[in-house]
Amino acid sequence: MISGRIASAPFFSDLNEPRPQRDTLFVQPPLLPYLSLSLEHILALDAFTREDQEAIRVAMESNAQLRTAVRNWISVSEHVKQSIQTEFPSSEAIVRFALREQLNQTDWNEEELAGVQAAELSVTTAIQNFPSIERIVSRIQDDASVFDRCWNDSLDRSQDDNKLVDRGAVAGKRNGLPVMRLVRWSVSVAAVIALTMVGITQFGPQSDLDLNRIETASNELRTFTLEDGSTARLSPSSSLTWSGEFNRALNLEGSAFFDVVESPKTFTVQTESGLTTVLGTSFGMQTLPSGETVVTLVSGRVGITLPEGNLASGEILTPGMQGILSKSGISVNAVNLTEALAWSELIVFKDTPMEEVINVLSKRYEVKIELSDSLKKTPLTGTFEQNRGVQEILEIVAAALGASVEKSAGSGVYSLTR
Amino acid sequence: MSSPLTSLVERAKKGDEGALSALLTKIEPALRSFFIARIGRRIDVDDLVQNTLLRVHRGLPDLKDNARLKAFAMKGALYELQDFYRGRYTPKEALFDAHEPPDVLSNDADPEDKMDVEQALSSLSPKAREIIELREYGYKYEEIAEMVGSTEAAIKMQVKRAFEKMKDTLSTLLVWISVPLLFSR
Repeated sequence: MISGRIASAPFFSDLNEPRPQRDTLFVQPPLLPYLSLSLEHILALDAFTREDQEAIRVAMESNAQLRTAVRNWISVSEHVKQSIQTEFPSSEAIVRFALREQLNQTDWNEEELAGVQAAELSVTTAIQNFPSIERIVSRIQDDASVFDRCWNDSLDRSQDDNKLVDRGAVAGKRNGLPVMRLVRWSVSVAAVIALTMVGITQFGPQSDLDLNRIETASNELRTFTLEDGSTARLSPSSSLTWSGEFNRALNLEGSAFFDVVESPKTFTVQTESGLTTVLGTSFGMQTLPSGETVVTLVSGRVGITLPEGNLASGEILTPGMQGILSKSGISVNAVNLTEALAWSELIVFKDTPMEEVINVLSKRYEVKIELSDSLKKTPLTGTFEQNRGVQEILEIVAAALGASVEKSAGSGVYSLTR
Repeated sequence: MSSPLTSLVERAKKGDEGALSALLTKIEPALRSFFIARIGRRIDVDDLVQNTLLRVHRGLPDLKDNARLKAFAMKGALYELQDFYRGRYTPKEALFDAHEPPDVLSNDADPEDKMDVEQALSSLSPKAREIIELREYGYKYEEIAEMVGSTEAAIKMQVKRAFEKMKDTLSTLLVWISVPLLFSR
């Protein structure tokens, strides 16, 4: 009889470690009695303890059926494993393929960059023969999300997955409609801003443990909901940081469109070239490569100052105005909001007559929209994501105006009436 | 304004050993947390964390954007995790002492054998074959269940049925193989 010594090979070293709870579900006691052991029992295990191995060995000695079954299983297993080794793309190729949309070009070194293109070809080809690779790609993308969460929890302490929910979801709850942001009438213009100057010193060097950061990739445009309910729509390659507990004092690199919830506490955004102070409003901010900061105001009031300035040396913006902060000072001009905020991929209207709203939408979406005379002079204030279809935007507008929208099946012409 | 982490990266890339050490120390808990989240609390986690830190250390000069350390570390961690999965199972070694496999397993497969195994596999449903591939790739049943949107019990049942289906084909295939019985050794 074979005694079957189990050597303490490195391969088995971890089997002596306590297993996580989920594993213990499948290793209970042993696979006794040996004689009744079947391949089904063996297949049900994710790993084998030494006791399991010994049980299988003993059972195989006296059970010819089991021997055949195990041998067959190993034949199949090794055959499949061989296919994986020879026909699956490398681990790195699959990871590159899985992350090709998520990572920036700058995240790859030269060799990897070349490999990304090769990976695309090899993985898509291999998926034709092995659909399981598609599952693996998807799993890797899940891995990346888990990594992001672990990293943020550990390093940023922002726990942003819990706090930074999609703007649309929040806005939908806020308005009771499944829309990003319903047309807001008479947006808190009455909330005249008490422009409280916030000391520049608070944006000075901070302990890295206290720094929170949200950012977007080079191909990402994402809306974050901040802890006070305000939203920041970050353009690609942009970031917002703040120190310690969220206190409505942010640093911006890149560009963002803010929709600030009113609060007695000032909301400030610091850039390299200036400081913007508000209480409740919506505005866009761009930091340009030239070092200039461009602030475009949609609603409310905003105070802008140079880094070394104070309120007296700053300017107050009113809706439809754009302030440019540079080393040479501050300039303020009136702008067309939709054009000035085109970089944010938003369509912005501020007290805009419906006649003009329809004109903008018709041109942007290249559709014909008819508007009843009673609506033509009605002013509209609202912000819409460009990637929403014209039908959806018209439905939102109609809901806000108490109007109805119809589309002609034949001509495709939209009609907004009340 | 660069974040403190970005500053550490900048200094580390310039050869500041203290910054490099601080950087690796700082990201180590995040890596550990990630690997534990994916494979549980196993001693393999130590190896995976160390290997990923090594990748970060070695690759730091290639990091083009110092503010993208997270993406850079993530890439390394995912490479390591995939390598871990692919080396996780070698059934023969898992079942038996790799240095002393029982005689029943010592018969080298004939080329014809492989062809027939492939034929047996081709008799399976696409889903069953997919599950077996994922299993042999290195995923656990629980992980496979998550990947295909099923339950662990259902996945095991699929595997069992798959082997039952292949049994006849494989029995025919293997009948000619002279297999010394273990107890006759």
